[in-house]
Amino acid sequence: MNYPYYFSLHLLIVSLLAGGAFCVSAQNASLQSANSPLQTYTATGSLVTIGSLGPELTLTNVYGFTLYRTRDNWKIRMKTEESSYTGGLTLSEYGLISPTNSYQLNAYEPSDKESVNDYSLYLYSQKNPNGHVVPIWLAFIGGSYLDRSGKGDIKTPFPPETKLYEQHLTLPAEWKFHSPDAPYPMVASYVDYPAESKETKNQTNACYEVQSWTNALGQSFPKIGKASQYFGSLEDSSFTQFELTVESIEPGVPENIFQFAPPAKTQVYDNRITLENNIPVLYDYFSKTGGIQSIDAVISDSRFNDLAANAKAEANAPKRDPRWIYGILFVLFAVPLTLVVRKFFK
Amino acid sequence: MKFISESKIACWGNWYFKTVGVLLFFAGAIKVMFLSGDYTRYLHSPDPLFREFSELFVILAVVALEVAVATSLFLVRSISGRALLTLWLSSLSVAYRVGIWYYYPTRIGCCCVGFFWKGISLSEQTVDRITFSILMFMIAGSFLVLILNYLSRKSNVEKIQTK
Repeated sequence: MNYPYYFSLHLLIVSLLAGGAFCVSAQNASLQSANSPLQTYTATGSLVTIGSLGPELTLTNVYGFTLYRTRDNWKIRMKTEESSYTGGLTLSEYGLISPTNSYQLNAYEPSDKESVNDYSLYLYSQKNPNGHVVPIWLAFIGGSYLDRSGKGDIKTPFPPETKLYEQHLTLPAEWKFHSPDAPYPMVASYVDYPAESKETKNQTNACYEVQSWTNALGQSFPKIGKASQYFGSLEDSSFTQFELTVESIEPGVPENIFQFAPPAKTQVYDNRITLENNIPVLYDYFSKTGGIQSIDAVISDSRFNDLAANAKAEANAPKRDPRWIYGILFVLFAVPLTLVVRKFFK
Repeated sequence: MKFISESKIACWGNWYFKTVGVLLFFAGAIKVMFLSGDYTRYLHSPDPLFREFSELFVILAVVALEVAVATSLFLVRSISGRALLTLWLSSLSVAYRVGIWYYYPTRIGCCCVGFFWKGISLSEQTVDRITFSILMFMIAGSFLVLILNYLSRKSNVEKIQTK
């Protein structure tokens, strides 16, 4: 390549980039003016989840997602495109209400009845979300959560149960970064293991890996990521597989996108307050006109004390044992049946 | 020993079991009625005791049992057979309630009743009291019928022996 040609090409690239920047700023007139394209971005894509609850039961979900990201904030919107099991859920939104508290807002088919909620809002004392959104969160926000490549005991982003998520379950984990020095560091792989026990030795609780990368806004982003999460023991075949595909990454985020305003007719499940040993206290109420109660207002409510006592009692209750449950059920069915059969053949 | 005649017990028992049958049909119908509409979202979560199954599955299983027992109460002639059937269904309900109470001590009510109370102006506690009263009515009534039936038969046998 001769120098004059290279120089003109360089000029062309510079002018194109300038034009691009101009286009971006012209396109996003509504974007936050303080957020330059390098500091904020919007990613879109899809997530396929295949959940196996047993040898014959498989549940598949296809979500379209949009992720909004700034240096210190994020929001993920997931729309159910296809599902074998929606439960009336149409849209889910995940984000932060404070640097350490996250929320999940579920939108359902609207109801004409005043007393029926159109939304469910879950407030948590964790900065990471829970549920099918986790691989999306890990792909784009996990870098800030895990900081650098490493290993050790951490609050797992893949808790096997909601209860364990609320209790901040810690598991031994290993993770690697793809681009630790990029403006937004990206996690290349993550794996965690169940707490030490003979039964679950060498078994993973969850794993995540980026299969291919794409370059956008001057750094690498995951293009295709895969994750698996297992539940229960080795004999238990229950698991969920995730496949994340990123379709676009654009600079900027819409104005006021991070304003948190719970809509009217929302059933609120506030899990932000935890007692000793991370026992969460669920404080629920119906927000007819929208908005949420402050933590001070929740604590000063006499109902909260009752709920806290209940939460303690629940935490100290015996652990559910399926052998006893199904054993008793079997006896309750088998004994009368035997008696009937004996009487019939007498 | 003079005791209530067997025919009287059969007559009372007949009315009693028909009442229980109607109550069970009603309970099953009301659960099915509220399986669609605004409350379906609650049905997809796993049942607290039988976590391997959804609440929908458990509710449908309960409805099937209720309808089967209610039909039998109208078809079976034997008083003791009907009483045992009622007691068996009640024992399942009691076992479920004990399980919930043992593993989830603060939980109000039995999940197997479904979510119909959300659609009407009744609280979960009120619905639980009503269903508990029906359960007690079934258990106490069946036991009473069984005891009366046994005593009446015994007195009949004694009468025949003394003659």
